Amino acid sequence: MTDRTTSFLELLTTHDRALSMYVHSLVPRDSSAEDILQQTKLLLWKHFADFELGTNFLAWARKIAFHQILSHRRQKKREHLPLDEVTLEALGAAVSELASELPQRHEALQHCLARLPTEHRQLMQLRYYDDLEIEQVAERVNRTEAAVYRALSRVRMTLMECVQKQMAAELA
Amino acid sequence: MTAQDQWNLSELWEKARDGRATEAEALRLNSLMNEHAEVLPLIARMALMDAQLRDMEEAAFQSKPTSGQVHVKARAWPWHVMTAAAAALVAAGTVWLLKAEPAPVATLVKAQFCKWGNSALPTLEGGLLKPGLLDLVEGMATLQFKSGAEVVMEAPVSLEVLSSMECRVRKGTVVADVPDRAKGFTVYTPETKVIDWGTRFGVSAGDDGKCLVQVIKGLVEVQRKGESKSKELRAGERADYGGFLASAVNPDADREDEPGRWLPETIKDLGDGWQAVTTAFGEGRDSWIQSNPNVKVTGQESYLRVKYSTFDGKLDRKAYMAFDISRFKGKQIEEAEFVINVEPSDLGFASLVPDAIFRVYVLTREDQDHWREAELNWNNAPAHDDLPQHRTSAIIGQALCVGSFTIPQGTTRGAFSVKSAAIAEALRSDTNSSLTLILCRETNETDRNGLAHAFASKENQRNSPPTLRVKVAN
Repeated sequence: MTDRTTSFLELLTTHDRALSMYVHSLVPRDSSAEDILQQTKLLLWKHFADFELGTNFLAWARKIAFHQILSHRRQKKREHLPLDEVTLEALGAAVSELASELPQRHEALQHCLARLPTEHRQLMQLRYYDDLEIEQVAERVNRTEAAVYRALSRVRMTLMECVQKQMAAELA
Repeated sequence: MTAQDQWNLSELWEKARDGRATEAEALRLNSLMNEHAEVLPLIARMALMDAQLRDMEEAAFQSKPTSGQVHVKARAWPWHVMTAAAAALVAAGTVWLLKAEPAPVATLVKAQFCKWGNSALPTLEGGLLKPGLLDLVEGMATLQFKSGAEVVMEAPVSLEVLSSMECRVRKGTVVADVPDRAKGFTVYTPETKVIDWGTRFGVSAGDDGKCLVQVIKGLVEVQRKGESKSKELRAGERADYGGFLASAVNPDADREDEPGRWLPETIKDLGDGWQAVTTAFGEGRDSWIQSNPNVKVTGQESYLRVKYSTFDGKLDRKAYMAFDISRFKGKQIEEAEFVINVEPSDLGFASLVPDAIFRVYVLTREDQDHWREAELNWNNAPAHDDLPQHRTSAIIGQALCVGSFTIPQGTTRGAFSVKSAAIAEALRSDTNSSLTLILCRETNETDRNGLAHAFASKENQRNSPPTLRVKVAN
């Protein structure tokens, strides 16, 4: 392996998770997000010669990923967030800011998830791990879709509050 | 942004990321994100959390993560539970995610000398507790919540178990021990919310909203109704709302009901030659001294407080009781017994004091017998000085140990007595018709903020004062 290849692999490994979280945050469908990530990594390698070692690899990778997201959604609009490009970019920037504390967030989220009441945690599992559509979740728990939306939103707020507190406590 | 706004936003986001938002909803989301500064960071957190959740392993969604089968997509969905819940939900209407028959959230792991009031929950050791009310009249009970938090109830206390992460103290005292995995465990009182971040802390609450939060170890967050900011308390710190301590030290201070309809008789003929005299009779007195000169004890308190602590040099206390024994003058004394009644104490936590040994001394230096309640203090008390060994005993040579008794941990009621030939002998050798007894606690607390034992004084309207029972020959 050349030094260049080693550097690339090192950088990519270091930032892989943060890049993945960035793309998945802006692309709600896992399959699309994975396509975009794969495409992005190919481009990163292809253009790695343009990357100046010592500068911010993650920022550079995000920029390329964001362009991939934009071109992907031009073709498959329905699979993307209903946000205009400016808003999506702003969201991307806001998500990037949070990503600096990604390991702590992950840990806090795991902790908070484990502390949810069983039925709420099961709801999250159906939605996120089993990746069921809302109507499938609704059918599983014998509820209307509207009720499931409401339930998911509230559980999410509970989790977010818990994560915030958890992070604050760790900083204290 | 109100909580409701946040929920609405969360729901809007849920629809948007699901591709279900209407055109109007999408427009609204875009404009909210662009025009309201607080919306974008909130949505960013939601987006990132969604991404993280999709990335989580299955074990993260199980209550007890097991490392072995992380990647096995085996579903163990409790169908019957959810279906029953859903059916009930339709009926309940407003309940957004209905719980089925509540599952046990805690276990009663230990019950020491417990007497229970009208508790809706099982009160046997090992009993599984679903959400509900526990009313402990006497003793000490330990609850182990499923989250890992441990809560010790110190009678008298009324506690509502809410979930594996929450309980409510209606009135009384609990000590919570919260390990890291149960961080966030919350104790509610009528007007205060105490969130624990991995500590040991105590909460005392009155049903009138008064509340005392005392941190033994670690960090807790306290939110008081009507206060916008929460307060952080660290080890050794406390928050006293509504003058809880003031009312605890003198619970009769704001009594407005009619004065004592019933008072123990100051002297009683018990038959069979036995007579009883209390500190309320004649020249009798009772009070206590404390190693903190700023604490003013008047002798009018309804408690006598006794404590020994090596954790805080200002909290040691000894009780002094003088009996007017003039009526026994010239009589032939056969036997004698000293009786004192334990009262529930609102100061400190019983969890931090093991079974406690108390020693009773009789003052032999008669020239010191005529102490006055209002003036008695740490510097002038009989048979006492500030030496370390005299924090748990009286000065030998000026006083004589006549016996001891042990109060089991968590005991908040009951009479304790010392019957000995030494007490009878002290009565016989008395020449000034006054007998002073000194009560000291020998047992240290295991950590700061342990219980200060309380005994009924002659001012106590609920319980009998310190009493000397004497058998006189016919």
